[in-house]
Amino acid sequence: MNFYPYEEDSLLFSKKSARNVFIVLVILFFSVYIGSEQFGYFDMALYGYLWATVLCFVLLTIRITSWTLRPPTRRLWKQGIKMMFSAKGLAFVFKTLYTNIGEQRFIRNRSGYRWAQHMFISWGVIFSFAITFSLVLNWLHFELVEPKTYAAVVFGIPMFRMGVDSLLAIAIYHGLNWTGIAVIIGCGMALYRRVTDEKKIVEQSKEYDFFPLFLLIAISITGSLLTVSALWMEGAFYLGIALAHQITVIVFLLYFPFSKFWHLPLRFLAVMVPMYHAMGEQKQCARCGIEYATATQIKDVQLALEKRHLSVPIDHTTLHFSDLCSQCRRVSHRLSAYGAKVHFRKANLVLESNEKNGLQLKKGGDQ
Amino acid sequence: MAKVLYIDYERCIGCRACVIGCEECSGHDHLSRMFVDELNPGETVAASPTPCMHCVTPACAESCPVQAIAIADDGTVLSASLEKCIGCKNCTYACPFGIPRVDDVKKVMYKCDMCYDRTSKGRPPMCASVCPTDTIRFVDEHEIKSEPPKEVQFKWDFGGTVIETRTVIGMPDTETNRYGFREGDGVQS
Ligand code: SF4
Ligand code: SF4
Repeated sequence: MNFYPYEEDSLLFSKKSARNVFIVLVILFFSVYIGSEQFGYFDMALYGYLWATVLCFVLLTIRITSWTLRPPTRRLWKQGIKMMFSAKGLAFVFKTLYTNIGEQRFIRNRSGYRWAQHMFISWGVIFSFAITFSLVLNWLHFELVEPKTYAAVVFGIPMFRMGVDSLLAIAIYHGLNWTGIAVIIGCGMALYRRVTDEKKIVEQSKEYDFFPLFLLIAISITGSLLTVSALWMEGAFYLGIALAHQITVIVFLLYFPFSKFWHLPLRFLAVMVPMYHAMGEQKQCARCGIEYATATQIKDVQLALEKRHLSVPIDHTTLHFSDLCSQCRRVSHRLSAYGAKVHFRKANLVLESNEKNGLQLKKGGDQ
Repeated sequence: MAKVLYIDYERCIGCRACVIGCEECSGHDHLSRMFVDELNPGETVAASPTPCMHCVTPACAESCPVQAIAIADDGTVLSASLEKCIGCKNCTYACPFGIPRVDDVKKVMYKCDMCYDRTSKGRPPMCASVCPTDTIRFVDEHEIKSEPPKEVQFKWDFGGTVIETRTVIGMPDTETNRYGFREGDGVQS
């Protein structure tokens, strides 16, 4: 790819990362402080997980910082946040959150099997994250308030009570088992598809695909074995299993920001896209006049390309190739190579080859 | 030896075999990534096929907010990764050659990836295999760039931005005008 830095200031990335990491650490510290009621309810058994989680957040922050410094990403975030402040924008965001992340309709449109598999894995992983992080960071803990009643305390605030062996308690205690089972089913389906479906998809390599699946399965199995050992084996092998589970989880947390799982944060940007496409004013192709994009997006793309020293202007005009629809771009190149004049009907310009394979305003013509 | 596509579009008869061939490539989900455009519909039957130009610094990848477009070791610019692509269409608008398309329903971009599953194993891409007129050929990159059979283009200068492409285009013979247009002709109204 191109060797120009994303920003003119070479220290920008370091500065921004340092600042963002600092903010994240402060927030984490206070959330732990408040959640554990001034470190009163600190769960020492989860100490190893705590450090891995903190490190995972730090790495993720650095990765997100570098990602959002890229000009096209930055533009899209900014536009998205700006548009979100209108009622229409907000409605779009909620709708897309539901279809895109909740229901994941776009994957269902790719294939039903893929969708089922992905729903199991993604929701399994997301809920596991939610439970793990809230326990590890001590945002949530359970207090025995009466001999047979637990209170769930979130950030120091008692939320609800439940009987020690009520159905609710069982559902909650085994939350990670349920999510683990979902993940195992999903990963199993994914493995089955990869092994039976020999069709090679060029965009993904085997290593990239298998390792994350094995890792998820290993986490889920070791996690469930902990329950099995505690409930039915009188704690046999508990320590060994706990260690194995801890290692797999830590590997996962550190691998997360740089792996296939990175697409999880990326999907949140997708929530902006339908709003971005629907709320802008339409733009017409300079040659054939069809509406092919929004004016905002074309401006954003031109800005992003300019920052990367990749502008593709049409010489002696104010136009860029992105002011044409895709088909007119292809046809214009070919016509000009034939030596023909290319008439941009909509913009009312006549163009010709610039002798260097690009286009320019026809000599003697005026803008 | 790295091989690339060479397009001599003077030879194109607009039969669209390449389009159908592309659909048949195993990784392509029956979506063609090849374009055959009519240059002067209603006036001539001139048509021309356009695959991805496989730019050395691809504007599509640079404009992608989620870095979904990967470049293979041999320089082939691949279709967006299914996991990452958010269907924003930036790549569609950024590409100066008008190549990437986005499936709005499946929310994924698709473009010519030179049948990477075939070409990475030394087989020619589908379009080149099926073209009956040899308009599209799979040839040695170095040879076609250093000793071309006729004038070719693989460097494009847009107001000072030079984009080099791996795909090579054979220029029409406008000297003798045997296939092309005469000076002054070919302005579409
Ligand atoms: S021709 Fe367009 S799609 Fe192909 S690599 Fe270049 S910018 Fe990307
Ligand atoms: S449509 Fe997909 S590949 Fe194209 S720029 Fe957007 S996210 Fe990237």
